[in-house]
Amino acid sequence: MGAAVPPELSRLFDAPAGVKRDEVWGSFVAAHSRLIIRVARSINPDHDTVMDAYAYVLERLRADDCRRLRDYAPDGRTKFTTWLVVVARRLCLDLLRRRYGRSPPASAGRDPAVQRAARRRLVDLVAGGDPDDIAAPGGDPTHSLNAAEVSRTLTQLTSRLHADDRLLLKLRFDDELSAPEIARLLGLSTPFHVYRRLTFLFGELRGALRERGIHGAEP
Amino acid sequence: MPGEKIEAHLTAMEVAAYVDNGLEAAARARVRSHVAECDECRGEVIAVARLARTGRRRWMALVPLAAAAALVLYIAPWQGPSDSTAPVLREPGVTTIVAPTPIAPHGAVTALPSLTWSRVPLADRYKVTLFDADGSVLWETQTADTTAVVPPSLRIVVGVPHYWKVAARTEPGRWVASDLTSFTLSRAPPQR
Repeated sequence: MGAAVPPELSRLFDAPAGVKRDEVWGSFVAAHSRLIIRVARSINPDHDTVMDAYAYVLERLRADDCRRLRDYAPDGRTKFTTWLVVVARRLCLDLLRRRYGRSPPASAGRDPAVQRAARRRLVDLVAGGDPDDIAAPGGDPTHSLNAAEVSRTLTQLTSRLHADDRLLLKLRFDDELSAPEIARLLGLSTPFHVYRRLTFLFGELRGALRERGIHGAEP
Repeated sequence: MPGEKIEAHLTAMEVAAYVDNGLEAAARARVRSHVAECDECRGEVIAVARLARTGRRRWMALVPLAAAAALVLYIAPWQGPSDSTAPVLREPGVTTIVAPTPIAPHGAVTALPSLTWSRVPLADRYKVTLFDADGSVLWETQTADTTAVVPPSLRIVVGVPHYWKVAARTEPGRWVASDLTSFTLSRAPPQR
């Protein structure tokens, strides 16, 4: 990972104001338009709003003598393009917020019922479900326990887990990420590490539920 | 801990460095701890990771395409204009390659006679791989069918999750693979 300012960026900072600066800005736009449009498309639903967001991002990046771009500090920890994805995405959300009020949360666009169902699967898996359903959520939700009580107890129990384990459960059941995606995000070498940790956590949570008198969990 | 006040959100640099695996262990742990509680930052990390990965995959996909195009230009002789009266026979265009979907086994099973998956258009070969709980390959086979019979000699441990996946070859050198699917044998198979 290089620690140097990308050439198109350093040329931009060094260019004298005027025609030369416009030229160099054009090169920067040409080099990164594809990325910025991809980011805008990930947030906006249709072509017109994508292009509005694209124009807004470029305008904000150029404002105040490229103040935002000058915030990029190449320290070898990240690539410029990844950083630009973050900044462009934040600007797109900023535009949405200006137009429609508070920007939607991270889970925007997801049906609340689907979100509840995703969370519900953790309850099913731990309190009476089949642990192997971790590979493909969507099993039969019927179980004999009082779901509300189990859910409440489970929330208490998960809140006491280590942050890494809480994050693992959230990525799997709140965000519904696949095991390979979780492995990449958590820096685990294979998806099997994700499956094994989930299986272990289910066992721990089942044991804790049993200790609290909830005996519906099947080993 | 959950319920505590969430500290300031992650900076753009922190998010990017986390996604690029550029943070040191302590900083990385701090980010994980924060995103475990902060839905907004977690959503941002997930979205940025996906966007960054999509970009890289596109570039990586272009490399073999460019190589293939160069090869074709090098070895394909110029044919000249084709006979416009000749009939044009070709397969209908397939614009999207879908991965095969594992059908069975999945979840708790009482027997493991075979593995079955969905057909992939234009696939001429499937490669099935079965893993034990540690991720070691137990068995692998290739077939043109969408079912593979499991050899009786294969040792599946009862009550322990196993995993399998299937990859379809849609053209020479190009495979598209399913996600891993897990299953657990709930009782020992009868002696054959």
